[in-house]
Amino acid sequence: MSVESQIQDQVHVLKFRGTLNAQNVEDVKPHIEQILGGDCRIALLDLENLEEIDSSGIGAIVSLLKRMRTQKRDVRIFRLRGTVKKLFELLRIDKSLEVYEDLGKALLV
Amino acid sequence: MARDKILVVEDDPTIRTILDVSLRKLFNVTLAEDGEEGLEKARLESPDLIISDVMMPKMDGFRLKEAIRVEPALHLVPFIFLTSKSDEQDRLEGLMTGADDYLVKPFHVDVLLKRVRMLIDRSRVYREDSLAVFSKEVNSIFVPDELPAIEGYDLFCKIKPATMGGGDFIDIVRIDDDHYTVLQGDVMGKGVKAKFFAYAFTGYFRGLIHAALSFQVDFSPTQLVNRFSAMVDSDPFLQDIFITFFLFNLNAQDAKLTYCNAGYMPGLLLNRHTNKLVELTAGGGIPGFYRGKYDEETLELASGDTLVLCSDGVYEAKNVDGTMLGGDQLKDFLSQREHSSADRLGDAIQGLVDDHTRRALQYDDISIGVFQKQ
Repeated sequence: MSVESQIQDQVHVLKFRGTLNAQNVEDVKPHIEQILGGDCRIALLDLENLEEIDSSGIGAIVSLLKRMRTQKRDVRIFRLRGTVKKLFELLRIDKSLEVYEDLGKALLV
Repeated sequence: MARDKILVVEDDPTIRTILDVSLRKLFNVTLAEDGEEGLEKARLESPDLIISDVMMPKMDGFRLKEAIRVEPALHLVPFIFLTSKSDEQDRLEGLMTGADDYLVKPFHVDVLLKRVRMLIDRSRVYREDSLAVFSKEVNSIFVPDELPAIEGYDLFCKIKPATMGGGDFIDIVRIDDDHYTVLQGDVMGKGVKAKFFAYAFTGYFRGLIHAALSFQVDFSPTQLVNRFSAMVDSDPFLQDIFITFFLFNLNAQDAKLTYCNAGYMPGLLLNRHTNKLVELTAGGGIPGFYRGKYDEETLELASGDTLVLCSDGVYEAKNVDGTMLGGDQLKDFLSQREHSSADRLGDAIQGLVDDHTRRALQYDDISIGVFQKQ
Protein backbone atom coordinates (compact mmCIF):
# COMPACT_ATOMS: atom_id res chain seq x y z
CA MET A 1 0.00 0.00 0.00
CA SER A 2 1.18 3.52 -0.68
CA VAL A 3 -0.32 6.91 0.11
CA GLU A 4 0.51 10.04 -1.83
CA SER A 5 -0.26 13.27 -0.06
CA GLN A 6 -0.69 16.59 -1.80
CA ILE A 7 -2.03 19.97 -0.69
CA GLN A 8 -3.26 22.55 -3.17
CA ASP A 9 -5.61 25.51 -2.77
CA GLN A 10 -6.92 24.36 0.61
CA VAL A 11 -7.64 20.90 -0.74
CA HIS A 12 -5.68 18.04 0.79
CA VAL A 13 -5.58 15.07 -1.55
CA LEU A 14 -4.67 11.55 -0.38
CA LYS A 15 -4.14 9.04 -3.15
CA PHE A 16 -4.32 5.43 -2.04
CA ARG A 17 -2.79 2.57 -3.92
CA GLY A 18 -2.92 -1.17 -3.22
CA THR A 19 -4.41 -2.75 -0.12
CA LEU A 20 -5.39 -0.94 3.07
CA ASN A 21 -5.85 -3.34 5.97
CA ALA A 22 -5.07 -4.12 9.61
CA GLN A 23 -1.39 -4.70 8.83
CA ASN A 24 -0.71 -1.29 7.32
CA VAL A 25 -3.45 0.95 8.66
CA GLU A 26 -0.98 2.50 11.13
CA ASP A 27 1.00 3.88 8.17
CA VAL A 28 -2.00 5.95 7.14
CA LYS A 29 -2.58 7.50 10.56
CA PRO A 30 0.17 10.17 10.22
CA HIS A 31 -1.46 11.39 6.99
CA ILE A 32 -4.84 11.53 8.68
CA GLU A 33 -3.43 13.43 11.65
CA GLN A 34 -1.80 15.86 9.23
CA ILE A 35 -5.14 16.57 7.58
CA LEU A 36 -6.89 17.03 10.93
CA GLY A 37 -4.14 19.28 12.25
CA GLY A 38 -3.99 21.30 9.04
CA ASP A 39 -6.37 23.94 7.75
CA CYS A 40 -7.51 22.53 4.41
CA ARG A 41 -11.18 23.04 3.68
CA ILE A 42 -11.65 19.77 1.87
CA ALA A 43 -9.95 16.41 2.23
CA LEU A 44 -10.22 14.47 -1.00
CA LEU A 45 -9.59 10.75 -0.84
CA ASP A 46 -8.70 9.35 -4.22
CA LEU A 47 -9.57 5.65 -4.03
CA GLU A 48 -9.33 4.85 -7.72
CA ASN A 49 -6.26 2.66 -7.26
CA LEU A 50 -7.23 1.22 -3.90
CA GLU A 51 -7.70 -2.43 -4.71
CA GLU A 52 -8.75 -3.80 -1.35
CA ILE A 53 -9.81 -2.60 2.08
CA ASP A 54 -10.81 -4.34 5.31
CA SER A 55 -12.75 -3.16 8.33
CA SER A 56 -9.67 -1.61 9.98
CA GLY A 57 -9.05 0.45 6.84
CA ILE A 58 -12.66 1.51 6.69
CA GLY A 59 -12.47 2.39 10.37
CA ALA A 60 -9.59 4.78 9.65
CA ILE A 61 -11.45 6.50 6.82
CA VAL A 62 -14.72 6.72 8.71
CA SER A 63 -12.91 8.14 11.72
CA LEU A 64 -11.38 10.86 9.53
CA LEU A 65 -14.81 11.68 8.09
CA LYS A 66 -16.34 11.88 11.50
CA ARG A 67 -13.66 14.09 13.01
CA MET A 68 -13.69 16.42 10.00
CA ARG A 69 -17.44 16.70 10.32
CA THR A 70 -17.16 17.90 13.92
CA GLN A 71 -14.70 20.54 12.68
CA LYS A 72 -17.26 21.55 10.02
CA ARG A 73 -14.88 20.55 7.26
CA ASP A 74 -15.55 18.36 4.31
CA VAL A 75 -14.32 14.96 3.17
CA ARG A 76 -15.05 13.77 -0.35
CA ILE A 77 -14.33 10.50 -1.98
CA PHE A 78 -13.12 10.41 -5.51
CA ARG A 79 -13.85 7.26 -7.46
CA LEU A 80 -14.78 3.96 -5.92
CA ARG A 81 -13.90 0.80 -7.76
CA GLY A 82 -14.49 -2.94 -7.66
CA THR A 83 -14.41 -4.68 -4.29
CA VAL A 84 -13.88 -1.42 -2.40
CA LYS A 85 -17.00 0.03 -3.97
CA LYS A 86 -18.96 -3.12 -3.13
CA LEU A 87 -17.91 -3.01 0.50
CA PHE A 88 -18.74 0.71 0.80
CA GLU A 89 -22.20 -0.03 -0.55
CA LEU A 90 -22.65 -3.09 1.63
CA LEU A 91 -21.82 -1.10 4.75
CA ARG A 92 -23.78 1.87 3.39
CA ILE A 93 -20.88 4.22 3.88
CA ASP A 94 -21.56 5.71 0.47
CA LYS A 95 -24.88 6.98 1.84
CA SER A 96 -23.19 9.08 4.51
CA LEU A 97 -20.64 10.89 2.40
CA GLU A 98 -20.25 12.27 -1.03
CA VAL A 99 -18.70 10.14 -3.72
CA TYR A 100 -17.65 11.79 -6.96
CA GLU A 101 -16.76 10.31 -10.31
CA ASP A 102 -15.48 13.57 -11.71
CA LEU A 103 -12.48 15.32 -10.18
CA GLY A 104 -13.71 18.76 -11.34
CA LYS A 105 -17.03 18.27 -9.56
CA ALA A 106 -15.36 16.85 -6.46
CA LEU A 107 -13.37 20.06 -6.12
CA LEU A 108 -16.28 22.44 -6.60
CA VAL A 109 -17.33 24.25 -3.45
CA MET B 1 11.39 -14.58 10.61
CA ALA B 2 12.73 -11.04 10.92
CA ARG B 3 15.94 -10.73 12.89
CA ASP B 4 15.84 -9.19 16.34
CA LYS B 5 16.89 -5.57 16.56
CA ILE B 6 19.56 -4.44 18.99
CA LEU B 7 20.39 -0.86 19.82
CA VAL B 8 23.97 -0.24 20.96
CA VAL B 9 24.63 3.03 22.79
CA GLU B 10 28.35 3.56 23.37
CA ASP B 11 30.58 6.65 23.03
CA ASP B 12 33.89 4.79 22.70
CA PRO B 13 34.34 4.11 18.95
CA THR B 14 36.50 0.99 19.52
CA ILE B 15 34.00 -0.74 21.81
CA ARG B 16 31.14 0.36 19.58
CA THR B 17 32.81 -1.30 16.61
CA ILE B 18 33.55 -4.50 18.55
CA LEU B 19 29.91 -4.72 19.61
CA ASP B 20 28.70 -3.97 16.11
CA VAL B 21 30.89 -6.66 14.52
CA SER B 22 30.09 -9.33 17.13
CA LEU B 23 26.32 -8.76 17.04
CA ARG B 24 25.86 -8.10 13.34
CA LYS B 25 26.03 -11.77 12.33
CA LEU B 26 22.96 -12.62 14.38
CA PHE B 27 21.03 -9.41 14.82
CA ASN B 28 20.08 -6.16 13.13
CA VAL B 29 22.24 -3.59 14.89
CA THR B 30 21.63 0.14 15.29
CA LEU B 31 24.39 2.30 16.75
CA ALA B 32 24.21 5.49 18.79
CA GLU B 33 27.03 7.57 20.27
CA ASP B 34 25.35 8.98 23.35
CA GLY B 35 22.16 8.73 25.41
CA GLU B 36 20.32 11.40 23.47
CA GLU B 37 20.92 9.74 20.14
CA GLY B 38 20.15 6.40 21.79
CA LEU B 39 16.73 7.58 22.96
CA GLU B 40 15.93 9.02 19.57
CA LYS B 41 16.88 5.80 17.79
CA ALA B 42 15.03 3.67 20.36
CA ARG B 43 11.83 5.61 19.58
CA LEU B 44 12.42 5.23 15.87
CA GLU B 45 13.45 1.59 15.77
CA SER B 46 11.61 -0.02 18.70
CA PRO B 47 14.54 -2.37 19.38
CA ASP B 48 14.16 -5.80 20.98
CA LEU B 49 17.08 -5.10 23.30
CA ILE B 50 19.28 -2.17 24.29
CA ILE B 51 22.96 -2.35 25.29
CA SER B 52 24.24 0.87 26.78
CA ASP B 53 27.43 2.26 28.26
CA VAL B 54 27.10 4.12 31.58
CA MET B 55 29.41 7.13 31.28
CA MET B 56 28.64 9.06 28.09
CA PRO B 57 28.42 12.72 27.03
CA LYS B 58 25.10 14.59 26.71
CA MET B 59 22.90 11.93 28.35
CA ASP B 60 24.51 9.13 30.36
CA GLY B 61 23.33 5.52 30.53
CA PHE B 62 21.34 5.93 33.73
CA ARG B 63 19.37 8.85 32.39
CA LEU B 64 18.80 6.94 29.17
CA LYS B 65 17.48 3.95 31.13
CA GLU B 66 15.17 6.24 33.10
CA ALA B 67 13.89 7.87 29.91
CA ILE B 68 13.20 4.44 28.40
CA ARG B 69 11.48 3.29 31.58
CA VAL B 70 8.83 6.01 31.40
CA GLU B 71 8.14 5.59 27.70
CA PRO B 72 5.06 3.34 27.33
CA ALA B 73 6.16 1.85 24.02
CA LEU B 74 9.66 1.02 25.29
CA HIS B 75 9.52 0.36 29.01
CA LEU B 76 9.60 -3.43 28.64
CA VAL B 77 12.59 -3.56 26.29
CA PRO B 78 15.40 -5.57 27.95
CA PHE B 79 18.32 -3.34 28.91
CA ILE B 80 21.97 -4.30 29.48
CA PHE B 81 24.52 -1.92 30.99
CA LEU B 82 28.17 -2.02 30.09
CA THR B 83 30.20 -0.84 33.06
CA SER B 84 33.85 -0.23 33.84
CA LYS B 85 35.73 -1.84 36.72
CA SER B 86 36.50 1.65 37.95
CA ASP B 87 32.84 2.36 38.76
CA GLU B 88 32.35 2.11 42.52
CA GLN B 89 30.48 -1.02 43.53
CA ASP B 90 27.84 0.51 45.78
CA ARG B 91 27.04 3.29 43.39
CA LEU B 92 26.70 0.68 40.73
CA GLU B 93 24.33 -1.48 42.68
CA GLY B 94 22.19 1.46 43.62
CA LEU B 95 21.94 2.59 40.07
CA MET B 96 21.68 -0.78 38.44
CA THR B 97 18.13 -1.23 39.62
CA GLY B 98 15.96 -1.40 36.61
CA ALA B 99 18.57 -2.86 34.29
CA ASP B 100 18.01 -6.47 33.30
CA ASP B 101 21.68 -7.31 33.31
CA TYR B 102 25.12 -5.76 33.22
CA LEU B 103 28.51 -6.66 31.86
CA VAL B 104 31.84 -5.40 33.15
CA LYS B 105 34.29 -4.27 30.50
CA PRO B 106 36.36 -5.89 29.11
CA PHE B 107 33.85 -8.64 28.33
CA HIS B 108 33.92 -11.86 26.34
CA VAL B 109 31.95 -11.71 23.15
CA ASP B 110 30.56 -15.22 23.80
CA VAL B 111 29.23 -14.19 27.19
CA LEU B 112 27.65 -11.09 25.70
CA LEU B 113 25.92 -13.04 22.95
CA LYS B 114 24.56 -15.60 25.39
CA ARG B 115 23.10 -12.96 27.68
CA VAL B 116 21.58 -11.05 24.80
CA ARG B 117 19.96 -14.18 23.41
CA MET B 118 18.63 -15.22 26.78
CA LEU B 119 17.11 -11.82 27.56
CA ILE B 120 15.42 -11.51 24.17
CA ASP B 121 13.97 -15.01 24.37
CA ARG B 122 12.77 -14.50 27.90
CA SER B 123 10.97 -11.27 27.12
CA ARG B 124 9.35 -12.86 24.09
CA VAL B 125 8.03 -15.79 26.12
CA TYR B 126 6.55 -13.43 28.71
CA ARG B 127 4.89 -11.37 26.05
CA GLU B 128 3.42 -14.31 24.15
CA ASP B 129 2.26 -16.05 27.31
CA SER B 130 0.46 -13.05 28.65
CA LEU B 131 -1.19 -12.36 25.29
CA ALA B 132 -2.27 -15.98 24.94
CA VAL B 133 -3.77 -16.01 28.43
CA PHE B 134 -5.55 -12.74 27.78
CA SER B 135 -6.93 -13.78 24.38
CA LYS B 136 -8.18 -17.09 25.71
CA GLU B 137 -9.86 -15.53 28.72
CA VAL B 138 -11.40 -12.74 26.74
CA ASN B 139 -12.53 -14.67 23.68
CA SER B 140 -14.68 -16.95 25.75
CA ILE B 141 -16.70 -13.91 26.83
CA PHE B 142 -17.81 -13.07 23.32
CA VAL B 143 -20.05 -16.01 22.61
CA PRO B 144 -22.72 -17.10 25.06
CA ASP B 145 -21.38 -19.80 27.44
CA GLU B 146 -24.46 -21.81 26.86
CA LEU B 147 -26.99 -21.13 24.16
CA PRO B 148 -30.46 -20.67 25.61
CA ALA B 149 -32.86 -23.49 24.81
CA ILE B 150 -35.57 -21.71 22.83
CA GLU B 151 -38.52 -23.97 22.27
CA GLY B 152 -39.03 -24.65 18.58
CA TYR B 153 -35.67 -23.23 17.51
CA ASP B 154 -32.13 -24.48 16.86
CA LEU B 155 -29.17 -22.20 17.39
CA PHE B 156 -25.52 -22.24 16.44
CA CYS B 157 -23.04 -19.53 17.47
CA LYS B 158 -19.32 -19.62 16.99
CA ILE B 159 -16.45 -17.15 16.84
CA LYS B 160 -13.09 -18.37 15.63
CA PRO B 161 -10.57 -15.73 16.70
CA ALA B 162 -7.90 -14.71 14.20
CA THR B 163 -4.15 -14.71 14.64
CA MET B 164 -4.37 -10.99 15.19
CA GLY B 165 -7.77 -11.14 16.88
CA GLY B 166 -10.53 -8.66 16.20
CA GLY B 167 -13.53 -7.60 18.23
CA ASP B 168 -16.34 -9.86 17.08
CA PHE B 169 -19.15 -10.71 19.47
CA ILE B 170 -22.48 -12.52 19.70
CA ASP B 171 -24.86 -11.97 22.59
CA ILE B 172 -28.28 -13.44 23.28
CA VAL B 173 -30.41 -11.76 25.92
CA ARG B 174 -33.34 -13.73 27.28
CA ILE B 175 -36.23 -11.51 28.22
CA ASP B 176 -38.70 -14.27 29.01
CA ASP B 177 -39.44 -17.74 27.64
CA ASP B 178 -40.86 -16.27 24.46
CA HIS B 179 -38.79 -13.15 23.90
CA TYR B 180 -35.11 -12.86 23.04
CA THR B 181 -32.84 -10.14 21.73
CA VAL B 182 -29.86 -11.26 19.67
CA LEU B 183 -26.89 -9.11 18.83
CA GLN B 184 -24.09 -10.11 16.48
CA GLY B 185 -21.44 -7.57 15.64
CA ASP B 186 -17.94 -6.43 15.03
CA VAL B 187 -15.74 -3.65 16.41
CA MET B 188 -13.80 -2.09 13.56
CA GLY B 189 -10.19 -2.50 14.51
CA LYS B 190 -7.94 -5.19 15.83
CA GLY B 191 -6.33 -6.51 18.96
CA VAL B 192 -6.82 -5.75 22.60
CA LYS B 193 -8.51 -2.40 22.07
CA ALA B 194 -11.18 -3.91 19.80
CA LYS B 195 -11.82 -6.71 22.31
CA PHE B 196 -12.16 -4.23 25.13
CA PHE B 197 -14.78 -2.24 23.25
CA ALA B 198 -16.69 -5.32 22.16
CA TYR B 199 -16.93 -6.28 25.82
CA ALA B 200 -18.02 -2.81 26.91
CA PHE B 201 -20.53 -2.65 24.09
CA THR B 202 -22.39 -5.86 24.89
CA GLY B 203 -22.60 -4.66 28.49
CA TYR B 204 -24.03 -1.34 27.35
CA PHE B 205 -26.68 -3.06 25.28
CA ARG B 206 -27.73 -5.37 28.08
CA GLY B 207 -28.05 -2.30 30.27
CA LEU B 208 -30.19 -0.58 27.67
CA ILE B 209 -32.49 -3.56 27.32
CA HIS B 210 -32.89 -4.09 31.05
CA ALA B 211 -33.56 -0.41 31.61
CA ALA B 212 -36.31 -0.55 29.00
CA LEU B 213 -37.74 -3.68 30.61
CA SER B 214 -37.71 -2.28 34.13
CA PHE B 215 -39.73 0.70 32.93
CA GLN B 216 -41.95 -1.74 31.08
CA VAL B 217 -41.26 -0.01 27.83
CA ASP B 218 -41.44 -1.99 24.63
CA PHE B 219 -38.36 -1.55 22.56
CA SER B 220 -37.89 -2.17 18.90
CA PRO B 221 -34.53 -2.86 17.25
CA THR B 222 -34.52 0.60 15.64
CA GLN B 223 -35.15 2.25 18.99
CA LEU B 224 -32.15 0.46 20.46
CA VAL B 225 -29.97 1.28 17.46
CA ASN B 226 -31.03 4.95 17.46
CA ARG B 227 -30.23 5.23 21.13
CA PHE B 228 -26.85 3.67 20.64
CA SER B 229 -26.06 5.71 17.54
CA ALA B 230 -26.85 8.96 19.35
CA MET B 231 -24.58 7.95 22.20
CA VAL B 232 -21.65 7.16 19.92
CA ASP B 233 -22.19 10.38 18.04
CA SER B 234 -22.07 12.57 21.12
CA ASP B 235 -19.15 10.88 22.86
CA PRO B 236 -15.79 12.30 21.71
CA PHE B 237 -14.08 9.29 23.30
CA LEU B 238 -15.73 7.08 20.71
CA GLN B 239 -14.71 9.07 17.64
CA ASP B 240 -12.23 6.38 16.61
CA ILE B 241 -14.35 3.38 17.54
CA PHE B 242 -16.95 2.01 15.23
CA ILE B 243 -19.20 -0.90 15.94
CA THR B 244 -21.42 -2.52 13.35
CA PHE B 245 -24.00 -5.11 14.26
CA PHE B 246 -27.12 -7.01 13.33
CA LEU B 247 -29.79 -6.86 16.01
CA PHE B 248 -33.03 -8.77 16.17
CA ASN B 249 -35.89 -9.39 18.53
CA LEU B 250 -37.41 -12.83 18.37
CA ASN B 251 -40.89 -13.59 19.50
CA ALA B 252 -40.59 -17.37 19.68
CA GLN B 253 -44.28 -18.07 20.21
CA ASP B 254 -45.50 -16.06 17.20
CA ALA B 255 -42.38 -16.92 15.14
CA LYS B 256 -41.86 -13.24 14.43
CA LEU B 257 -38.41 -11.82 14.00
CA THR B 258 -37.82 -8.07 13.78
CA TYR B 259 -34.36 -6.96 12.80
CA CYS B 260 -32.28 -3.87 12.15
CA ASN B 261 -28.95 -4.19 10.37
CA ALA B 262 -26.62 -1.40 11.53
CA GLY B 263 -23.78 -1.50 9.01
CA TYR B 264 -23.19 -5.24 9.43
CA MET B 265 -22.96 -7.76 6.63
CA PRO B 266 -26.46 -8.56 5.32
CA GLY B 267 -28.32 -11.30 7.13
CA LEU B 268 -29.07 -14.27 4.89
CA LEU B 269 -32.47 -15.88 5.20
CA LEU B 270 -32.81 -19.37 3.76
CA ASN B 271 -36.33 -20.39 2.95
CA ARG B 272 -36.70 -24.15 2.94
CA HIS B 273 -39.88 -24.22 0.89
CA THR B 274 -39.18 -21.72 -1.87
CA ASN B 275 -35.50 -22.69 -1.91
CA LYS B 276 -34.69 -19.01 -1.99
CA LEU B 277 -32.05 -17.01 -0.22
CA VAL B 278 -32.99 -13.46 0.76
CA GLU B 279 -30.56 -10.75 1.89
CA LEU B 280 -31.72 -8.86 4.95
CA THR B 281 -30.68 -5.26 4.56
CA ALA B 282 -33.30 -3.22 6.42
CA GLY B 283 -31.52 -0.91 8.85
CA GLY B 284 -28.82 1.61 8.03
CA GLY B 285 -25.11 2.35 8.12
CA ILE B 286 -22.45 2.48 10.83
CA PRO B 287 -23.91 3.79 14.13
CA GLY B 288 -22.55 7.19 15.11
CA PHE B 289 -21.69 7.99 11.53
CA TYR B 290 -24.71 7.14 9.41
CA ARG B 291 -26.90 10.17 8.81
CA GLY B 292 -29.98 8.47 7.41
CA LYS B 293 -32.92 6.99 9.29
CA TYR B 294 -32.71 3.40 10.50
CA ASP B 295 -35.54 1.14 9.54
CA GLU B 296 -36.50 -2.39 10.55
CA GLU B 297 -38.34 -5.31 9.05
CA THR B 298 -40.47 -8.01 10.60
CA LEU B 299 -40.33 -11.53 9.20
CA GLU B 300 -42.71 -14.33 9.89
CA LEU B 301 -40.69 -17.49 10.13
CA ALA B 302 -42.03 -20.69 8.66
CA SER B 303 -40.83 -24.11 9.69
CA GLY B 304 -37.28 -24.67 8.44
CA ASP B 305 -36.53 -21.00 7.79
CA THR B 306 -32.97 -20.25 8.73
CA LEU B 307 -31.24 -16.95 9.44
CA VAL B 308 -27.47 -16.99 8.84
CA LEU B 309 -25.25 -14.17 10.09
CA CYS B 310 -21.59 -14.06 9.06
CA SER B 311 -18.99 -11.43 9.95
CA ASP B 312 -16.86 -9.72 7.31
CA GLY B 313 -14.11 -12.14 8.37
CA VAL B 314 -16.06 -14.86 6.53
CA TYR B 315 -16.56 -12.80 3.36
CA GLU B 316 -12.97 -11.57 3.40
CA ALA B 317 -11.29 -14.85 4.36
CA LYS B 318 -8.26 -15.14 2.11
CA ASN B 319 -6.35 -18.05 0.70
CA VAL B 320 -2.57 -18.01 0.27
CA ASP B 321 -2.92 -16.21 -3.08
CA GLY B 322 -4.89 -13.45 -1.40
CA THR B 323 -8.20 -14.34 -3.08
CA MET B 324 -11.20 -13.60 -0.89
CA LEU B 325 -14.01 -16.05 -0.31
CA GLY B 326 -16.58 -13.43 -1.28
CA GLY B 327 -20.33 -13.12 -0.83
CA ASP B 328 -21.33 -14.85 -4.05
CA GLN B 329 -19.52 -18.04 -3.17
CA LEU B 330 -21.00 -18.00 0.33
CA LYS B 331 -24.53 -17.50 -1.02
CA ASP B 332 -24.15 -20.26 -3.62
CA PHE B 333 -22.91 -22.57 -0.91
CA LEU B 334 -25.87 -21.78 1.37
CA SER B 335 -28.43 -22.14 -1.43
CA GLN B 336 -27.43 -25.76 -1.79
CA ARG B 337 -27.86 -26.49 1.88
CA GLU B 338 -31.32 -25.30 2.78
CA HIS B 339 -32.16 -28.62 4.44
CA SER B 340 -29.29 -28.70 6.93
CA SER B 341 -29.78 -28.35 10.67
CA ALA B 342 -28.39 -25.25 12.40
CA ASP B 343 -25.34 -27.12 13.74
CA ARG B 344 -24.52 -28.74 10.45
CA LEU B 345 -24.93 -25.52 8.55
CA GLY B 346 -22.70 -23.64 11.00
CA ASP B 347 -20.01 -26.30 10.81
CA ALA B 348 -20.32 -26.38 7.01
CA ILE B 349 -19.73 -22.62 6.77
CA GLN B 350 -16.68 -22.95 9.01
CA GLY B 351 -15.56 -25.83 6.75
CA LEU B 352 -16.04 -23.67 3.65
CA VAL B 353 -13.83 -20.98 5.18
CA ASP B 354 -11.20 -23.51 6.29
CA ASP B 355 -11.13 -25.16 2.86
CA HIS B 356 -10.70 -21.81 1.20
CA THR B 357 -8.01 -20.44 3.51
CA ARG B 358 -6.07 -23.68 4.13
CA ARG B 359 -3.04 -22.59 6.08
CA ALA B 360 -3.11 -18.89 5.20
CA LEU B 361 -2.97 -16.69 8.30
CA GLN B 362 -6.31 -15.07 9.10
CA TYR B 363 -6.34 -11.47 10.22
CA ASP B 364 -9.97 -11.19 11.16
CA ASP B 365 -12.30 -13.10 13.44
CA ILE B 366 -14.78 -15.48 11.85
CA SER B 367 -18.23 -15.24 13.45
CA ILE B 368 -21.07 -17.47 12.42
CA GLY B 369 -24.57 -17.33 13.84
CA VAL B 370 -27.34 -19.65 12.65
CA PHE B 371 -30.91 -19.35 13.92
CA GLN B 372 -33.40 -21.90 12.66
CA LYS B 373 -37.11 -22.40 13.18
CA GLN B 374 -37.74 -26.11 13.59
